[in-house]
Amino acid sequence: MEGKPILEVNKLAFSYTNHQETFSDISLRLDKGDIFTILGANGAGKSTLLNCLSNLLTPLRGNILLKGRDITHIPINEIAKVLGYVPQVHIPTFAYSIRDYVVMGRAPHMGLLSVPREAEYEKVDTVLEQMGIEHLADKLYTQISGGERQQVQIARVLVQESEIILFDEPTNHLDYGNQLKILQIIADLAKKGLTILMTTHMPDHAILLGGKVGILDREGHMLVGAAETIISEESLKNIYNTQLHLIYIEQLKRMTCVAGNIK
Amino acid sequence: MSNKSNAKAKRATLTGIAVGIVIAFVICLSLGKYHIPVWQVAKIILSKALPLNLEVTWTEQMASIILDIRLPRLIGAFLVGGALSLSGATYQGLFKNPLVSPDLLGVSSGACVGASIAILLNRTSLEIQLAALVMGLLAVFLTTTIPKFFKNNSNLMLVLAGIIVSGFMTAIQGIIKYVADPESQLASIVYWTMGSLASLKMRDILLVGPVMLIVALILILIRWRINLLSLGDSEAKSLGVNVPRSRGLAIVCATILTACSVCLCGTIGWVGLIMPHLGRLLVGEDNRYLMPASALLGALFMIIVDTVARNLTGSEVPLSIVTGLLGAPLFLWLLARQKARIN
Repeated sequence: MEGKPILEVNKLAFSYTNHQETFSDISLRLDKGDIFTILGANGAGKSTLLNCLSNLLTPLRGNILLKGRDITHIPINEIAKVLGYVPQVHIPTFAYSIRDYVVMGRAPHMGLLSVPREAEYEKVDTVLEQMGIEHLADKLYTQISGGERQQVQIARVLVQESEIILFDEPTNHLDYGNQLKILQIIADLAKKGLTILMTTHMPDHAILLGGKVGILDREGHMLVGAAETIISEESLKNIYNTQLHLIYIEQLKRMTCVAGNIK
Repeated sequence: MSNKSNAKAKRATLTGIAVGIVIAFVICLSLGKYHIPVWQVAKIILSKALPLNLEVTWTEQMASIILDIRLPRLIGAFLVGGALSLSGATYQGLFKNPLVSPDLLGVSSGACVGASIAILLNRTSLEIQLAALVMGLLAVFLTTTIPKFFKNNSNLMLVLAGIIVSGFMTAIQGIIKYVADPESQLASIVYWTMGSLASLKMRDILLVGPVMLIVALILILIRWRINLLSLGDSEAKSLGVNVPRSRGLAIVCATILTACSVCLCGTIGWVGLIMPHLGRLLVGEDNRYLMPASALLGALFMIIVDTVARNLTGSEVPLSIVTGLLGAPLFLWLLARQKARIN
């Protein structure tokens, strides 16, 4: 790949307290259209890392370059034009309609005193249609299912028109069908040239999506590489402290990760 | 498409409430111990407001009652009701909690201390108002300073700081009441903390009113930002919102509104809490419509409340008593309606 990477992270370290670093020495480079999946145990610091990358937390050391510019020197609404963030699904206090919720993705493109108008709502309607969820448009955010909420959040980040999208455990709390639906959407977005960075608890999801994987261990170091080379029975045992098996499925022509038997 | 007609319906609702305010205003001007027919009221107001040469069918006394006594009170009620409800809606959005009222950060308890000190020192009514305004703002300044010491600018920290400052102010208020002369000063303090527009003069309104209107206008202009902030700090930030700046501006405006109303008529409960709920029932939760709707509903409600306070018994009834008597059952009804909607 020639040209500047869209996202470059150099020797990033973060600490909540002064005594112990949550993670240190994390480096990675992402180009346009890359998918990067972060695996790690509970409490390993996956969400913390994602929060640093999205500028919600300030790292202790190291730097993050967004299209070659240090993120600390970019105004916050300029960051949001390049970097979108899909938080874990939760129910907000107020019941906004889906259109009113999704239109908030236009915020980085709008001034302090402006209010979304026709043009902004047209973008919303286009994205909802592309995703095939236009029937949700006038429903209330509090009334739709978890799977639909996750799709609505993705719609909002698409309306934001950023080039990189960070997902914090996008398949959490979803049933199996919805998990795969979201993974399909994510893969399609990458094909369209968006750069994806996500965390997950499911090694299979990293294998399914392919691309690059980062394994965050308990000491706060991250091993980065291609999915097929870096996901091994040994590395998985390191994360989850349990024996997992990587088995080649002839029918699907790919590896899959399964647990051993319960005694 | 359905959404467009939806927006139209919401705008029609807002216009409807505004028309209701005008009608209520004229009717309430005519009501009182000295009853003046509505058409006389309209003529007196029109002849004052417009360069019309109307035939004088009213007495000097009528004009004086309308223009010098009832008009300032009703303008005051309009401003106070609108201000408290608008800042209530703002706070509820900012703190992601529909049960928050505008005195969350200590503005009311601070204002009470200010007014009580002034009453204790036998100061004039103007000085009492100023002391209330200054102490109200000071209390909120203290509240917003505490999180800075902890280098923690989360919402929760701010709410906790508000509890600390309010608690402290209430204790000081207790000391003042304890040492006040029970014959005169204590009664004034208690009466002041229950709210009244009885002694309001046009001078007070001209002093405070313009500030309230400007600050309210700013809040109305940034109302869509309140939607963004209501998603929570990190989501708002990821949407490119400068959270401390936007939230700070909204808090300053909402606080000035509350402090100004306290300074006009003392502390009044319920209005800032329930009017946004009534607004949600009428126009939904989007602050683009909810904030103007709350302000208008609050203004209408206070016009009615003040007229009831004036006419219920032979003497004046403190406003907080009336807002409580009307507000508590109204809130109960709203909850019943909301429950029906959820089920």
